Amino acid sequence: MTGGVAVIALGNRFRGDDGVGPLIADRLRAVSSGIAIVEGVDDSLAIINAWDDRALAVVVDAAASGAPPGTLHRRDLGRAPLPRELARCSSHGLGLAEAVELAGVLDRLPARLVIYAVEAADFTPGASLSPEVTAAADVATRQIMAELTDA
Amino acid sequence: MARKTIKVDYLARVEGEGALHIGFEGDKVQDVRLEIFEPPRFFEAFLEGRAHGETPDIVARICGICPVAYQMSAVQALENILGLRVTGALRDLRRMLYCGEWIESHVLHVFMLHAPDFLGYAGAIEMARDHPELVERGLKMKKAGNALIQVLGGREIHPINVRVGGFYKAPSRRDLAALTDDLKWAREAAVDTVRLVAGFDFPDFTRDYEFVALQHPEEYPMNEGRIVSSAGLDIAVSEYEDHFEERHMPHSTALHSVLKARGNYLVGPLARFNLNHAQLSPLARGIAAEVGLKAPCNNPFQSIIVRAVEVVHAFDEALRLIEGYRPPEAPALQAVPRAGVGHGATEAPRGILWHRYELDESGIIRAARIVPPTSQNQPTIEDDLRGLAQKNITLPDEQLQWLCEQSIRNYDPCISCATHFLKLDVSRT
Repeated sequence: MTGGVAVIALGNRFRGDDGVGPLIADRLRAVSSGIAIVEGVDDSLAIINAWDDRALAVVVDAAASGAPPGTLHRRDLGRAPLPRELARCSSHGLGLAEAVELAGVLDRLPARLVIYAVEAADFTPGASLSPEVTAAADVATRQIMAELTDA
Repeated sequence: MARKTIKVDYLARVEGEGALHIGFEGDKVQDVRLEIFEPPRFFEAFLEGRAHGETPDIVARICGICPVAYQMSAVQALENILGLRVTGALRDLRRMLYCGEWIESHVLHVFMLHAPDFLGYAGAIEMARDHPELVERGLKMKKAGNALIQVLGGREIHPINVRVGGFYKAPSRRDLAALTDDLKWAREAAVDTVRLVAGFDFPDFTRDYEFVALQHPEEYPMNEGRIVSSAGLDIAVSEYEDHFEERHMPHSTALHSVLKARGNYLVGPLARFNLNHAQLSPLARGIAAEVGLKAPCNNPFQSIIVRAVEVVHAFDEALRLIEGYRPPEAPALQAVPRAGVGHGATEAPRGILWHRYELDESGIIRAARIVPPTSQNQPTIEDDLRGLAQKNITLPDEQLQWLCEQSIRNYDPCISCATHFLKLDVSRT
């Protein structure tokens, strides 16, 4: 698809707070049926194919940067490279960082790329989401909806 | 005697993270350990107590690269318990879905993970700067595989349309026909890719493997078959536990699978090709012959050619199935719960993926066991490394390390499903 917006939710909903991306995807689906949401992409080629030609792509992910659990990181990259500190803190840093860099080489970045990453507390398989992370997911959902409305 | 160790803490371009340690004493390789840290068998435990109908959605989350394989082995095992036989259009749809997964997984590995080794680049980004057309080709071929999974699976990754007995919704002929132009382009691109990778320089390294793969009388194995080997094994999927066992290795939390009678074995593209090459589509067989790929192929570095040939086969097979497709009367067979034990095995991109389930009379899972391909190949990967390191012991450390890392990538180890984190380490003292 050319133009439009896409939300790309990274993370595994069976691994504790790693499920925050899919949780935000669920919340967005609940408030609007018209958002293109791609969930479960794990590798850099799949991420590039998911945002290819979009006017705006919003990536949601869990983070592990050492900040307090529930901290919401937001980076508006435009078409800039992924900052090093964010490449490290995304729980899918390698795939996302590689996708941003590779897409830059191939001129396949979306017109604008915004990353929301929620600081996680626990990646234990089977664990529930931490309360701070769930609360941050609500905030992120509202901010993303506003972002999509303005786009 | 001089001792040395080659140690690599982070193994790049595998699906996950892992570590390799090779210890030398003088001119002898003393110790090879591929260290894999497997989380507790979380998903097997997680499935216990769940309704059997939840299984396809749960197991699809085990691996982001091969969710369809997990779903297909699981539904096959559960359908065996429930007495369901999925045939006709429903079986064809499952095969199409599986073609999409082979395409996505193999294309990612050939272009992004393995080709940089042969072309002398540290990774795909460096390769893309000099050869953007290669990565663009990979992107477009992978997109064609994605489209198949999206139409059939309901989502590009973690498909949600698969259920015990069939699908929640079957596609129309028009849904599938819309894919054919892109699939035909991608099939041609796949043929060119075989020619490209067959021209790479391959290290001179062969071993006498026992190849293990599914075998089916009418098709190149994907969804089902008997388990056969190059040493004469020929068993039903339900007999797997009589012939194979998983052993716990002290240096790894991953279990190592071995044949009880003979030890290490190899699953995956090389095994499938060597045991089933006559059943490749005529186009795939033809291109394999054109580039001189013959069975038995005992050089693990040439697995990249086999993967490329299998991509041709998968595109060809998907197009054949789409052409003959007539929607089923119902998207799924009705499942009535009953107690029992069932087994399923399919050919994931990396090799045999074996499942076993035990249900009670109300259809609740009482026990689950999952054996992924990477845990089956792990002892063989270590043996390759041992042989390769010994043969190339005079190489400078940096070159030897490169060769060892490349050798691990021959197997496209899916650390994210066999394990969670992997690192590589080689050292000499």
